[in-house]
Amino acid sequence: MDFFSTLQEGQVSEELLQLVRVLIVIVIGLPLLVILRRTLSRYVAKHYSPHYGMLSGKIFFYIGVTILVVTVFHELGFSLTPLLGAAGILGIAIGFASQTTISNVISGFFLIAEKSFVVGDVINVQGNVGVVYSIDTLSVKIRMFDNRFLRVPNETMIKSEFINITRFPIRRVDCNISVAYKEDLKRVSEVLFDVAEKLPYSLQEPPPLLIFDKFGSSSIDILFVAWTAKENFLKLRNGLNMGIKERFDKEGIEIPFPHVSVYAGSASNPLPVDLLSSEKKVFSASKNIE
Amino acid sequence: MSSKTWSEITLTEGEVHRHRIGPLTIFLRKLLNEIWVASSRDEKRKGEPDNLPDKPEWVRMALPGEFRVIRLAPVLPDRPVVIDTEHAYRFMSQTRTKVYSRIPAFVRITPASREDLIIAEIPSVVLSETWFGIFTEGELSYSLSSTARRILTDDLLEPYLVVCPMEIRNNSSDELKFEKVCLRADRLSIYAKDNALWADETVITYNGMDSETHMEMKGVVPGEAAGASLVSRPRSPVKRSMGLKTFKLLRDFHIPGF
Repeated sequence: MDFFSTLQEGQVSEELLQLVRVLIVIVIGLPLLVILRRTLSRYVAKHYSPHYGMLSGKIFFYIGVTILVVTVFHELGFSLTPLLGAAGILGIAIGFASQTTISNVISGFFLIAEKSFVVGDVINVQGNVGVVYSIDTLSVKIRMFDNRFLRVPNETMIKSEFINITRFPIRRVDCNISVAYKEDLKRVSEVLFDVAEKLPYSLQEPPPLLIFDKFGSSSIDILFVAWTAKENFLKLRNGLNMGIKERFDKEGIEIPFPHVSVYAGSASNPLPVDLLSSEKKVFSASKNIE
Repeated sequence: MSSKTWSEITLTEGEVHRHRIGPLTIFLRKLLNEIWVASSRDEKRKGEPDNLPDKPEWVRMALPGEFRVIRLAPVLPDRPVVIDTEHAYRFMSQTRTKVYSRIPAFVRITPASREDLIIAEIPSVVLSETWFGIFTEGELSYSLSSTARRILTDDLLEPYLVVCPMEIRNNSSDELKFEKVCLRADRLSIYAKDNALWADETVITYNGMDSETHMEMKGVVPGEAAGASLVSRPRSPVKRSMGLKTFKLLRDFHIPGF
């Protein structure tokens, strides 16, 4: 090759100079690229969104690295045309050898273009809930709420269903409530709406809603829902459930435990119950039979 | 500005000062270059400030210098305010009307000599939140529990409530039906006269379903409060006219949230 042959011919000083130029490009160019990428990412994230910050940083970095590589090769005296040709052939070979990787890369482009979620969204992927940390070339990185790190390959994200929990600005809090059969449902309803109204972060609009669920085996089951801004979801869920329990206790509204009532039916007499004092002799069932 | 409700307070080192504004009592304490702020609310009792709670939730703010004189100024809420019309309102074409709503002021606490240093902003009344828009987009707003009034009498004026006059015009050829109005409170100034606070008049012009509703902040003292003095400027820069969603029409929110 050109570089090595000239080195052998003794033109050391010129080649040294060439090497120094290459080193300067790498030593200055690479850290500069990293610094500029970080600055650009932060700026865009601050002024637009973290998602665009990440994207702009990546695009800038990859373009920068390509330019650096081309510059270095040029400095070393390599001609780019045969290199590009070789890269094409090599690309096909690598492509066949690493189909999964290529699939992940292409899936990553689709994920970014589709924008079903962005960096900072809370998503549920097959039961794993967490905040999207980054959308990278091969995978989506998620910080789960218990601070575990989840890596989902882009291809899996494209193929599987996931729920974006924070896509829309408001969320609904559901409270499943059971009350005893003896309770006045109108009164129960008034208490529930009052609890929701007293919580400032429970939205007035869309209004809370009470839905009669079913006559349960031990209770009347009700679904009470209220809306809140997505960032106040946990605050409202705690406030609502604790408020309902507190008010039910205060108002004497019973939340029944599961229980079973045994009776013989309306056509027959109730089962006889005989209260025995401690002095009376108690026969066991087996003895009675005897 | 009312000398009693909205006033400047001179703090004594280490001592707790109490000041009542409507149902809100503010507790202030100076400690070297720190100002400590706490608050409590009592809507039933009027007049004297509340006593310091047993376990006050102090917020400590370190300032770039020592400031003894503290200013309490009224400001309008930091989000739009949705005002109920009590009953669905129907406006015939080419009709105009004027309504008044009373918005509880937030109390802005600053050093008297440095109004750019905001120590705290405390709402005199805690307003409920509401959503103005549809399920997928809209604005988080405050909801006003009192309704807009056609007639305003002196007894309704309170030193902590800002009266916002609104003129609604239906310039379209359609009938306008709505039940709520969204007021961009962050773009309004506050003026004080006697013991009352006034915001500048807002003119809301409805131009039909296909056109945006125009909201114009006049930026001057309303006629009802002629001679009032400016006590606080808008939070956001005032644009002469804005095209924004303003009315909650009767057809909105008909998509069930279930």
